[in-house]
Amino acid sequence: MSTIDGHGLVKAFGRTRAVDGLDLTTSTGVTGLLGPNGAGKTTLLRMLATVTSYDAGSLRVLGHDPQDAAARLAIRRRLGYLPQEAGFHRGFTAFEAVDYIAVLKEHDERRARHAEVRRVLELVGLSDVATTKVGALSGGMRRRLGLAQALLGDPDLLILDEPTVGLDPQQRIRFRDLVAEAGSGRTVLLSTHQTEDVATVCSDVIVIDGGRRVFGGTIDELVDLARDRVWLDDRRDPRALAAWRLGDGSYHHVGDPPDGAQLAPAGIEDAYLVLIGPTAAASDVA
Amino acid sequence: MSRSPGVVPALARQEARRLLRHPVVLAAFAWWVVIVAAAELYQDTFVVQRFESVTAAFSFLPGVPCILVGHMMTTRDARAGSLPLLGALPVRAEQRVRALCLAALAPAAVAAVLNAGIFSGYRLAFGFPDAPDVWQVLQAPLTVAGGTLLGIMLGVWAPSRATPMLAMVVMVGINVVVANRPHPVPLFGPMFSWADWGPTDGSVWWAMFPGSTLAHFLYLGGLCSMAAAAALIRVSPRRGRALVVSAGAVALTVAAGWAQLP
Repeated sequence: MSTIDGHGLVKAFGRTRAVDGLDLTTSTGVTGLLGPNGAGKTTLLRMLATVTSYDAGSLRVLGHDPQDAAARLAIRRRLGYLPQEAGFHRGFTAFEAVDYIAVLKEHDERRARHAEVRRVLELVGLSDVATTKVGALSGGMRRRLGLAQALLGDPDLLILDEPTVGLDPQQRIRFRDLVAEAGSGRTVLLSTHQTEDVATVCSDVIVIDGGRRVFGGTIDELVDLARDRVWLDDRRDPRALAAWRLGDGSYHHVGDPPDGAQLAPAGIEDAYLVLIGPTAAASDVA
Repeated sequence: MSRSPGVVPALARQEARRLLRHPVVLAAFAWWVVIVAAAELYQDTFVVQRFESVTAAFSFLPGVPCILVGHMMTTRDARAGSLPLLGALPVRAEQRVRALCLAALAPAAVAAVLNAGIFSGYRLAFGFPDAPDVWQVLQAPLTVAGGTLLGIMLGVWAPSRATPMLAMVVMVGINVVVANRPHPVPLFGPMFSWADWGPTDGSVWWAMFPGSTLAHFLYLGGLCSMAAAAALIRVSPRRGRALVVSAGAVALTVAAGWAQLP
């Protein structure tokens, strides 16, 4: 059974359609959500997290329609959500911040709630700073605090909006491990600009652009889109969709290769560029 | 649609602890203790002043600063940038505001305990020509709850940082104007002292102002209820019920306001 099942979803802000007839289906495992800035990722995640309503289409999250108030409550009780900007009061300690969210997740029995707070802080490696004020935590620690609150109560659906922003490589590796762990037995929807994160932890990937889904499938199927469309050359080829200089002085090209080109193995980033085109090459990939 | 019934009390307990540990509340209570102690130790404190300490002083400290604290507690999540996260949680804004309104009773309870302490101390050590009744002893702590509730209401409707500052000035100003009018107009002020200083400097007991102490307590309770109801109207998904509660609060305030008059 699908955890998320959406068809023809539309969300407009004035004349701008942030989500424009999008179809989406996910089930157990970690699904990556890729797309350029302004593609509608955050709006889509806010709709799935019941924060924003949709204007048209149909949507079932955990078997419920989030437009209905009672169903919305049922979804929220089984949901863990880490928004792009998850602020915590700077005067709270790490423990108090998560404990506050735990009460708002209806964990009203004090002893059990505190045990659960300690468990999720341990999971994200923040037990040692449980009594430290949020204002004194590093950006990476605050991000992990956000993840800790999302994991409260072992939710069936975990929605993470760009969770690895601001994390150093070590933290990112630890985070990937956590997400991969969380994805066993539940659904995790992970929105990110980091194709490496998707390649490492996701079983499936959805690419959206202009509020529409432009790809949905496995990582291998995505990479297949760029197969035989990546080549190396000593000089930059202006006909390429995207090209960048590598450390050894050669140029990595994505697009339709010229005859006799030296083909190279394709990766997710190449496939993403093939899908999204020059806009992504200019804005999202260095 | 069933909800966990224990959530609002659990959240209220959390918020009450935060209210009581808030630096402004701690400073206001500490200031009150210093003023009362200094008055006893270093000044000629007369019987009328002692009576005012028991019946009205808490309305100013920490009552007035509690407007600021109530506002800060209510706008805390928005200031911290937590709202995108809170929107996806089962507990609604209405439940959060209800919990805050319950938590507003915590500083009032502390004030009531302190008040009972100094009342007992004064009574044993000096005695009062007319001992204040229970409603007079409880009225000042009630206004502490009222200040917090007013701050919560303003936080819900007008989250700007300037709002509580303006409200504190306005409330003190209103009370000064009302208190300087002939009796019984001062009964409508939030900080009312029942002791009539008369023509003396307060060193001699003159008289008590006439009026119903119970009705005045209920009048203040009505004002508190109006603040809480006004806060809930803004966030309640069932506006009809909130409006009925508000109408009840207004009716109580009007009826008790009339009944308190001599």
